[in-house]
Amino acid sequence: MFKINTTKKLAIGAMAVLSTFASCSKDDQPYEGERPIDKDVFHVAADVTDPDENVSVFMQPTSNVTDTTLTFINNGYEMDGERSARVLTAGGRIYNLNYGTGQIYELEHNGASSYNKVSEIDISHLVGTHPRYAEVSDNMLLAHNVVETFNNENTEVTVTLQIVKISIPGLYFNVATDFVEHDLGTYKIGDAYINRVDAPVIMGNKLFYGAQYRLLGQPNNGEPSTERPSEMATLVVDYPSLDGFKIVTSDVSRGDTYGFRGKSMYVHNQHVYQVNMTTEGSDAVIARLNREGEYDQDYVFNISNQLGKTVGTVNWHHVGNGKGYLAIDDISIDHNNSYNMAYIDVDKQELEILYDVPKSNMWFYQSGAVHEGKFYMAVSPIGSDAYIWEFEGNQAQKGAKLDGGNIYVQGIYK
Amino acid sequence: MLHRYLLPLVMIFIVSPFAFGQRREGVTIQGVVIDQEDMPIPFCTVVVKGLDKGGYTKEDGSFEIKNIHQKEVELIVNHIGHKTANVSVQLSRNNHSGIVIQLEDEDVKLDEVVVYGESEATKMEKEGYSSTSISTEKFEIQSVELNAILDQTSGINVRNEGGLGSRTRYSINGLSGNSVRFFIDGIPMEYYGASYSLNSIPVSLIEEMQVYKGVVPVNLGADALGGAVNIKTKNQGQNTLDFSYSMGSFNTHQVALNGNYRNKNNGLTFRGALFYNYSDNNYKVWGDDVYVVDPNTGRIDRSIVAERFNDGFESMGTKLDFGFTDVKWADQFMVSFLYSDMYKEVQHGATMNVPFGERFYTQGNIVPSVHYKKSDFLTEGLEIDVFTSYAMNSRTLVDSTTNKYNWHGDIWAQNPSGGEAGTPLHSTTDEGTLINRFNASYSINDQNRFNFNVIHTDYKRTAFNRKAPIGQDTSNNYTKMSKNLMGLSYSNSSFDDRLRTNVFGKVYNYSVNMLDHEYINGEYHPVYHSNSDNNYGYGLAIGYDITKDITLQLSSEQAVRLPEPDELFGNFSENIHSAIDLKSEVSKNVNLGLRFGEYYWNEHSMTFSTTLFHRSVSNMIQQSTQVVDGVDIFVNENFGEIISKGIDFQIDYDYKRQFEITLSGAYNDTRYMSLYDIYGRENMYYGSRLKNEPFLQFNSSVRYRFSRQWIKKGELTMFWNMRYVYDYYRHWENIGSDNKDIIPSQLINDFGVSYRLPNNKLALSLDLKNMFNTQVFDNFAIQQPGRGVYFKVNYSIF
Repeated sequence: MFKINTTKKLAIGAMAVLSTFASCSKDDQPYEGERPIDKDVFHVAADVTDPDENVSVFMQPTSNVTDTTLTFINNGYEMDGERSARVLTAGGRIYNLNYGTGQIYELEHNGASSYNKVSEIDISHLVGTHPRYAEVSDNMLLAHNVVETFNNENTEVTVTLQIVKISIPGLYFNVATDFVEHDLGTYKIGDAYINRVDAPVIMGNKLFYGAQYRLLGQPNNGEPSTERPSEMATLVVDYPSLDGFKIVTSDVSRGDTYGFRGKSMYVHNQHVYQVNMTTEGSDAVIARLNREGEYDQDYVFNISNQLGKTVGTVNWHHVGNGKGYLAIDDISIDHNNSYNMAYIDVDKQELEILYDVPKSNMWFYQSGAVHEGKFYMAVSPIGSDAYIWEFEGNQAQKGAKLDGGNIYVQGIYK
Repeated sequence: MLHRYLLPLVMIFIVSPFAFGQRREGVTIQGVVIDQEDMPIPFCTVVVKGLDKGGYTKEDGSFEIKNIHQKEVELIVNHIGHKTANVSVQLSRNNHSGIVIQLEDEDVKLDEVVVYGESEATKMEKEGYSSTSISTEKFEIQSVELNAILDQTSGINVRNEGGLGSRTRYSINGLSGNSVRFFIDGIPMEYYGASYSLNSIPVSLIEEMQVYKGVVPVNLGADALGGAVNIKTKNQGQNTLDFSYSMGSFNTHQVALNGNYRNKNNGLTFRGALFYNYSDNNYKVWGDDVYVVDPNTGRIDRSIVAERFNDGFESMGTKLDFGFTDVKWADQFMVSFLYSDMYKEVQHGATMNVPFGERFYTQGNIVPSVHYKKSDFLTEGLEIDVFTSYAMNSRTLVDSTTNKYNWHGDIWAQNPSGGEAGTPLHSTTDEGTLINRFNASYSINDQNRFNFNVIHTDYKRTAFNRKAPIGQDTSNNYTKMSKNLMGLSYSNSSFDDRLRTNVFGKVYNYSVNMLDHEYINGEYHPVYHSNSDNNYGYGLAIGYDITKDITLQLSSEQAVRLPEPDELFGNFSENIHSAIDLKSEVSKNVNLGLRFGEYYWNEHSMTFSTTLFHRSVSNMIQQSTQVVDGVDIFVNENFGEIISKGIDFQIDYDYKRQFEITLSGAYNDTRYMSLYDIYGRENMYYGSRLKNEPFLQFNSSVRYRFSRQWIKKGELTMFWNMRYVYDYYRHWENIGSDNKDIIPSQLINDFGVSYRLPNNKLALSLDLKNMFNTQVFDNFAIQQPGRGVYFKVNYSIF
């Protein structure tokens, strides 16, 4: 009974999400690709790590993620990257940030097994050669960077936020109107400040950034600080003007909120729901922010308390209606396969660990995809076979088989 | 520290007990070539049949060929306008030179001559090793660098990151990096720095390059897994003074002056060499990696052709030797002084994508040394060779600008944190190395010989970065490494010298001491590290003459590569953690060679040689990343395994010593053979060809020397070189299928002509490099120079 109900809810949720995206897309943008945009194709991306620690990223399209075998052995498209390639999809197109050069490429699926590059830009003069970027809608990418400038003694830091708005498809911006730089302030030893932002979402007239939040300490081997503040933070920027900003904090737990390589924040029911990257044994929590850009002090979904033990979290995957999937790190396990998958409901503040899914390492995992109400992500336990898993409510089953080993599927994109 | 200075002396006494019996030394053949009017003939080729030895006669018709071990040799003397002479020479002990070879216009004149040879340092380089000796003599008058000559050798690949003076990566039979070691006159080259390396040293200072593929003989004390290259500088007996100047494209200038003086009465000898190199390296580059960006829209224009603008190179140096040669108490006693310096701009990082406009480095060294060599030392048959030097070298890297440059050479943006390659730097690294080399060989009799070699080095490095933030000051840190590489070999010749056997053992021993500092609460706290280890290697080399013209060679070795200090102790500023349990890399290699020739028919001759090899490398040192609280931490581990096998070959064809063709090729199948990766995951590229490593290449060269009569006794030579390298992937070949990063196949043609004037004093050459202006890549997305024209003047002052 529960299963059917959940499925229905998920389906409705997913459709709602999809229709929202669909209604956002504009047809008046110039179109540089040759092919009609196909949103039903999945794109599977793998990180291939060399012994000398270069990461090359390969991608392949597939419409079948359930009963097939997907391999990158002699198959797949190499994403251009000086040091690495950061991948995302928006509006049926694939985007690749060449990490190390500050260039973004727009790719389209060629209808067969490969991709065509349709446009490209360089934003290294605005946000440096190692920025972060994310899609906020089918029409908009944001690339962002935080520059820290220390004084000679390393006892003060001046922090600058850089954001560039890029409209898609086509990768368009104009420096005069789409680029802002904000002085986030100068901080002394003992002050907490934001030195990285990512995982942006837009709600109403606000842009919410998850933040890496640090306390400037005494210089230690050149590292300005290894200390963590006792709060977690979010950077809130006026949208679409990007004119004003504020830093809001919450003391429900500690840790960064930018999701590392995945998404940490989603808009649901007039709130932004945010998971923290736990640190030094802090509670894993989902907090929420309201339309005014303030933390809702009355809401906290404390995952550690629910499980009755200290666990770790990085990011989460919302599938609609406040429901989603969360990788939970059992930090009492001292090896790589330490993450369980859990089904969560942020409204009911319920959590159920999905024991059918084997434990794996989810720290580097980046993206899952929602399709027809179901959620798909790759699970790659070290020492056993890797599969795409299909999640539906609190049920999960094995889908397509992956290479496994050191071909790490870091995301399923759609 | 005293024991280090005494070490060579101690070794002498250790070796002395072996001093008994009779000796068999390599002899030197000296003679003169004259024509029918008894006039000397300069620039005849004189070669020893079946051996890769020989040279040209000097102006006075004289020639000298060293290190002959055979009892009987056949000399082939050739000169345009004269008939080829085949001269059979009986060699006996304790004799010295005096061959007169007369060439006839019509007939071949055969002389039976007894040669009186003098003692020479004994070496065992022809005893079955997979080795090649490259004589630089015929390249000397051309505008050509040592790297380019080396690259033409089968099984060796040289990859440049740009034009003259750029960083170079070498591989021998598929193994590269630390696997390959370089020597100058038997001394490890790494201690001299880039200013006195294959990039800087002019060809005219070099006599030959010895290349050992796989198995390295004990007289080169090296922890090399893949092979070694020994550069032999000139060491001639005659009084000479030679000057050369080459100028050409990209504002390239290369000047060399070298001379030799010996007082025949008292043996007082002075040798001096000077060199200067300069190039703007402003060659044109284009393609996907060369672009400019519209700052307002970010649009990328990849259609431009750009000229490199921050790639200049300048180097200079001098080497002065004073002492005595061929005197009673010493074959050679030299006190030497080497100074060299260089400046190099850096145009870009790992690819051409982001050009740099200001980054540069400088490097310089001062190396005083003493060298003593004596045969029949204390007792007959014992030869010793002692070398001591102290190499001081300093390297400074400057990268502090906040300017961002584009491929037009314009500043188009600012990078507030500074440093074009990512981190602001103004760092200086100082190194000092005490190098002691001791070599003793002892011949029991004609058939049996021992050779003992030890290289002891004491190395100290200090480094500091003027731009380092507080807490990263490294000026009080140091790294010290002391290495002892010892080898003992025994060689035997039997069945009338048809079977030559050499067995050897090596001991590798090192100790490292390092001082690092941790900065805690405003104070530096010293952290001391130390480590030491012993390793052993052994091997053999066998050469067997199946017939007079067919030789079979087999060599095999277990070789060791010691870990570097940074690999052992890490580096705080680069987040590399220490790994003091790190073991040495070990390679087992086997080479099987076959050599046919030299075959003669009429006036044609041909040689064919080929080697099959197998190398298995284990315990390769690799870096793993661990993420601790969101920060990447690097740790070195013994992990990788590589198996390399393959074949190389060389064919030399010669017609009348007038027309020469050389064709060489090499294929290696080098694969990554670790079953699991460093994190315990199954290795999905197990068995895949090693990434970013060329595996198939061919070289060919054609030379034609016009008849002297035709050009009125001058000598005109034309040459054409072709180099082909098959494409290879930047990453693993078995992963992915589309849009893969590839280093494309390349075919480079060089053409040249040289003319030696009838007075033999002056020679001119014109070289056309990359004749068809092909876009050439040695590394992924780094373009090599296009067509270049170079003109060179060589003048023998006396």
